[in-house]
Amino acid sequence: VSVFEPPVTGPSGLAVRVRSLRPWWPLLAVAAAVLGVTAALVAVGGASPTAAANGLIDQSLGTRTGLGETLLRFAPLALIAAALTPSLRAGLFNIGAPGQLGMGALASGLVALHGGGLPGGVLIAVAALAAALAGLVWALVPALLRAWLGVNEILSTLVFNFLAAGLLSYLLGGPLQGKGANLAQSDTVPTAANLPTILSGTRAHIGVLLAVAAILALAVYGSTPSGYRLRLFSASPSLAEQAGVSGRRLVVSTMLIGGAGAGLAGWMQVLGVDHLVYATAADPVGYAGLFVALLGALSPVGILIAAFLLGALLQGGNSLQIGAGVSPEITSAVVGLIVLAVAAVGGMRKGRFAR
Amino acid sequence: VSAVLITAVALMVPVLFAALGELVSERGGVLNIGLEGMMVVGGYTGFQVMDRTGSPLLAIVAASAGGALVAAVMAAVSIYGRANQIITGFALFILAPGVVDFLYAQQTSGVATVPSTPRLGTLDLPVLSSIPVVGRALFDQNAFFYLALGLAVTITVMLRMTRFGLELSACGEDPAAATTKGVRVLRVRTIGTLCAGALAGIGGAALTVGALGSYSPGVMAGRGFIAIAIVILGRWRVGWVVAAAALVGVADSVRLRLADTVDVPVQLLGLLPWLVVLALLIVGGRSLGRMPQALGRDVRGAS
Repeated sequence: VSVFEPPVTGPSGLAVRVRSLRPWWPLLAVAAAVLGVTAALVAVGGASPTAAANGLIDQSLGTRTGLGETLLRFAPLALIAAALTPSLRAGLFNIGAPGQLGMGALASGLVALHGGGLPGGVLIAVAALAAALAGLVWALVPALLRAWLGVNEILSTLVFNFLAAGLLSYLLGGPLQGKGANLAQSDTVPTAANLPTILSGTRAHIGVLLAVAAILALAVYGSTPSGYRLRLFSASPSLAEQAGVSGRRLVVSTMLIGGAGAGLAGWMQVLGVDHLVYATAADPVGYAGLFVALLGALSPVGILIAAFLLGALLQGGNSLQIGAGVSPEITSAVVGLIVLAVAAVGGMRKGRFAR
Repeated sequence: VSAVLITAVALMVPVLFAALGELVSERGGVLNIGLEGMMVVGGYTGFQVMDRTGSPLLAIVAASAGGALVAAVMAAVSIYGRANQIITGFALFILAPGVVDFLYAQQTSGVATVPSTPRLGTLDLPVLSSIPVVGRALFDQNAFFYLALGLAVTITVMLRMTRFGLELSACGEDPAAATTKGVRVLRVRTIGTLCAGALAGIGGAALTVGALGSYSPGVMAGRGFIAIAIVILGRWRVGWVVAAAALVGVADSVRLRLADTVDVPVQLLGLLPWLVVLALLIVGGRSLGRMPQALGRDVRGAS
């Protein structure tokens, strides 16, 4: 125990009760700060903050279509966050989801475009498999480099994001470009490959169920033997090694899970939303999925809530352009603010320095 | 060869500023992932001031202030607020460009032409610039290049010979021990982080004001992250960082050269610098021995 640690009183003491309340006031303060800064930003941009807020809530939760669109954005965020959580719990700051999502989108798009003879259900399943595999392959090199050579995973996954972006913009702007397209995009996939919807009159598709299943799987994973090994490893890598846990295997396997999840999010994007492959398929879902995991404090319930709220924010923010004259770039600023707030709250929970 | 070198040195400058800033910050134990965001803010504010006043000097001052402002948030949240450095930096990497791009979009919506300024001219040092091969690459560049070299020397001297430099390294190696020796760790680390922000801001301006004469969203294109890789590759030493930045500059320059001469799609050539960075990470990743021991950790040693 470090000399800086504050004294701990008995379980019935007032100090403990105050301490258990403590996580809440910074949360409120920080939420107020996020709202204030956002409102100021909107005002600086020359629009009305209240109109923007009304428009945002109305467009994301107020109507059936809006709710469907929110669920549509919820699905990839929740899936990526759930899949990234094991590697984040292992202490790896794996930011490769955008690249893995892009490769997954490309793979499922190729399957959908060229698997013409297959019946719809099989086609969708094969595309999902291809997408998960593509995401996994894209995560493999950074995972191996980290496990065997100790190469910093933040930078290596980032490099692979840029490599994927370059590859996609080359392929979709060249050999795979759709007929008559000006942008870097593929042909439209056949309608047989469209994901079935789960809520009539909306675009919310079966991917939403998959995302919920992934969160449930994460909840169960925590109490399995491998989930326990992961907890041991994140608490103390050296102790875990002594107990026979292979750190290398853990690093590689958790990063591959993250890659497969991000690849599947690409499958949702192509077959459920865009119905063709854009070179920019991963914007802004790729990084936002990581934020959902952090925002949800790496817990299944937290991820569920965070993914829904961020989905609503992305959906509402996109529709602000028309309603309130606010550029959609505002969402990326707000998302950044929220992550900053989460980091700040995490710091506050550690307590102040004793001086 | 000479032409490739001239371009290589020009391309190296923005990244070199940012890498020098990151070096100062990391030597103090603060891992600054938000470097890219600081470059974007510096590049934007620098260009805005250049566009309005026409003074490169004012532009550099504004750019360093803009970058330092982002760094001040980093310091407040992660040094004084004890937040995780990586998450804080990553938040700033999303937040700062988001704010800038939002302001840019609001500013340019409905405007027909985006503003641009003439690129900064080169300062030709007579005699020296006529040295064969390297002469024009090293002695006929714009003011930012000479400023970067001057800063590299200043930082070397600062780290090795001043009290502050030694205190900074102490904060990066063992903040608890530094505290017991009377070093005000939080303050020293904050100064290091602000330096990183100011330098990254100038780096951004070196691109927008110096090399391009315009600002557009996405113009930094990951240079902040390349700078972080360069610091790892340069083993946290000024001389090696300059060498690594030069190497990446050469790779970037060769890419541009190949685009003119070889029939390879430009998007594929764009992968080349990233492949070089990856290769460098693999080579440099093995020699982490000189990494500041408390990098990414707060005064109590928590991450």
